[in-house]
Amino acid sequence: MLRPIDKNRLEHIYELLLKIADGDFAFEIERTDEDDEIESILILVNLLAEEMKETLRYYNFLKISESSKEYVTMLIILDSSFQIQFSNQQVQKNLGWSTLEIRHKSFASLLSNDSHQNWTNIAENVLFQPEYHIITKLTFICPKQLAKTFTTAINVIPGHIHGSPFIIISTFETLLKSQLIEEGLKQALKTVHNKDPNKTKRPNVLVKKQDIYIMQQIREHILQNLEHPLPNLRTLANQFGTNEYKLKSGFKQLYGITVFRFLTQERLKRASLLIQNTSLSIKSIAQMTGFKNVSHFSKTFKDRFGVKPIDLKKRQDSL
Amino acid sequence: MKETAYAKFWVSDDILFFIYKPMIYLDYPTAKKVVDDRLKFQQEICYPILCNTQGIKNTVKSARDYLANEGSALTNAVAIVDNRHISTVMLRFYLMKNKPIVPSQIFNLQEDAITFLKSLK
Repeated sequence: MLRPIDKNRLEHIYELLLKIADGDFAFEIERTDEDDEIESILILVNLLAEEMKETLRYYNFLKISESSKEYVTMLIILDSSFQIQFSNQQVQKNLGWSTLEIRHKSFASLLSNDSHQNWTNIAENVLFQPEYHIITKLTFICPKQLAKTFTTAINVIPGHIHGSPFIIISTFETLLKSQLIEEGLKQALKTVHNKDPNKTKRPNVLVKKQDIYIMQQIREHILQNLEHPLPNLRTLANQFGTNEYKLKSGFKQLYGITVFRFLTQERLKRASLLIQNTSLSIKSIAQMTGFKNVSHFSKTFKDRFGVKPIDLKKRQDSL
Repeated sequence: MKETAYAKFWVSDDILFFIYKPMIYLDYPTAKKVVDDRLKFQQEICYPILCNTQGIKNTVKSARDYLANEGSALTNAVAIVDNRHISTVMLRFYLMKNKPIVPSQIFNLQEDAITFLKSLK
């Protein structure tokens, strides 16, 4: 016989699986502190939904032919006692609560248990710091006990002489993977702009599942061997049981970047990480990331990040 | 021993012991900070890592991807120690989907994790 709490948790799992079956991957189940089989399945379903959401977002990004954007979705305005005074249509669309249902309710009642502490810390400061602004992750509860996590910005509008302040809660959506955001919108836009929509589409070379698997293996091989020279495409393809054409077109099709650009990108990411966090010499870092010599490394690095490795290192050392 | 907002770590017997502090979400900025702090601590020395993840309640995909790739800098193997029931699912998913680029395995017991790391030396 199941405990009522377990029955409840199973209900949540069914609910989320139905959402997934319906093609909606934005929901998640609020975690409990239990450590058992049901919690394991609950976690796995959450991970599955997240994986589907991220994967589809990634492919959407590869396909879009216009610039990618971050945009505000939900907007909620609170009064100084943290009661909801206004919520836009997106709140209903994203969370499933109508404007009337949540009007005058406390904002905390929209949040999951895990986010309560986070919100309490914010609420303690928000009214007492001028121009308070924070971006954080908050998990909102939805009808049927499901939940959704959003990157959320909290700002305060100071009150006038006789008025009270208002708090603006806004959430964001983005079409980019977070790592792409970090590398700079500029870089992302460059990639997007380089795509000529009039260009003839390349044929799909990844027809078989095995072909995709081989591309994944090659990607892993590159990441595991950043410090070693990569053989030419023909040799690399032969090593993994495919041919040069499939490797060249298939890798680009799957990851949106050529094999050698990917290699350089990953080498530079690793080099930048080491420059910023260790006292290793530029020469050692160049060697550890597979560059033939320091001048080649320095030039490639500058082309990518707009700064020479040595200058970045000096900047880090002076901090 | 070094202690940061997110973790405690130290080197003993040529192994870097890395213990996550309790956290509800391991998100991308936290993952990045964790790797930065570890690299600063290690400087140029490469260590096998024994990583205790018991404090982590939830992770996000971008954080897992970062740890599996950039998080592998200056290490040659990672043994994850977590004896929660739920860790099997969480970490099996991590190893399967995020595919860390250095040999990584999950253990319930710290002793087994140390044996694994020593066997790779």
